Amino acid sequence: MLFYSFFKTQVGQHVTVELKNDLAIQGVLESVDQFLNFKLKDIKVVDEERYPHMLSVKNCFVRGSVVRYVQLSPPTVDTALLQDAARREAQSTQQMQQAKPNVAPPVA
Amino acid sequence: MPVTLLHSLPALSQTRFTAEKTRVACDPPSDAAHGLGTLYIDEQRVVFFSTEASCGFSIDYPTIVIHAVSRSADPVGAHLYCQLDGPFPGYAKAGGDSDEEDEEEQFAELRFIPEDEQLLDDMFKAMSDCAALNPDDGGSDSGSDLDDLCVGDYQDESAVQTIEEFNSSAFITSPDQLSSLTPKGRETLAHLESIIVESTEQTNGYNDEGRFDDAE
Repeated sequence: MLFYSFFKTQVGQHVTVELKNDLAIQGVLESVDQFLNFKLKDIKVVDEERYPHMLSVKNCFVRGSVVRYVQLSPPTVDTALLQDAARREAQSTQQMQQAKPNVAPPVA
Repeated sequence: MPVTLLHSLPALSQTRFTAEKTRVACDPPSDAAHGLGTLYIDEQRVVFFSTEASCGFSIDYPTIVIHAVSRSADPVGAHLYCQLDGPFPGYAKAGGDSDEEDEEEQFAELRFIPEDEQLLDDMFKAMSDCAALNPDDGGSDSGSDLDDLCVGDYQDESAVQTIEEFNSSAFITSPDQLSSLTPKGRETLAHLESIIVESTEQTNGYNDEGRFDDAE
């Protein structure tokens, strides 16, 4: 859920979404849902020659499960906030495991 | 079966959008995906069917990698663009020039061109909504640890470790380490804790799962 919260902070920012099929799309993040499906606007395909049909596409919906990387613009990332969020998540996980010792840890 | 060829229109119960007189084009070309028909955007799948030709096809949402609206600058006209995660069935590699671009034929692109361009935004929205209703199965996508990390599994330790690896000394990962903070650091932390509301709510939601433990 950390990732979902984090990407919500990136709405309105320029990102480059790199797909598992090597397609890379630059655009402005319009919305993201809990499955990390991305809606992008003002998009531009990095390798336009390979995807001529996408030349006139301006908005698109990218399935979260096909995303390999998301490239972000460094100034838009609040690392202090991320550190704290990561710490909190680690802490809550730890507390949960202490509270319920009989529950097996999640399969990584 | 991600893409299924049809010879009769299947029963569709939860269709969000229907666009009659829609043309379809597939690249690489396929006999099964061209011509005029009706596009049904159903909650379970996308169906294109031509009553005249008695043929069509249906696509599961996980097969659709990207969908998008392409405006009139495109020579085929404004259309709904769908990129699939694999080739379209019925595509034969018999074409003369297909060898050199072998690698690039791994995916198919479908274009649905409605008679009325005004429908496109609603078509796009319907397809987006339905795609969100159909997340991938956990096991079906072996290469995807992203799913495992993010869909509900937010106590996965690898998520934390990945960040840790960047600079392990700069991250505080357990409450014990808090005592090493400077007074200034504590101030910053207190401030951060006061502004992060969202993650707290989500954590609470997760912890609530334990509330049923007492019931037994």
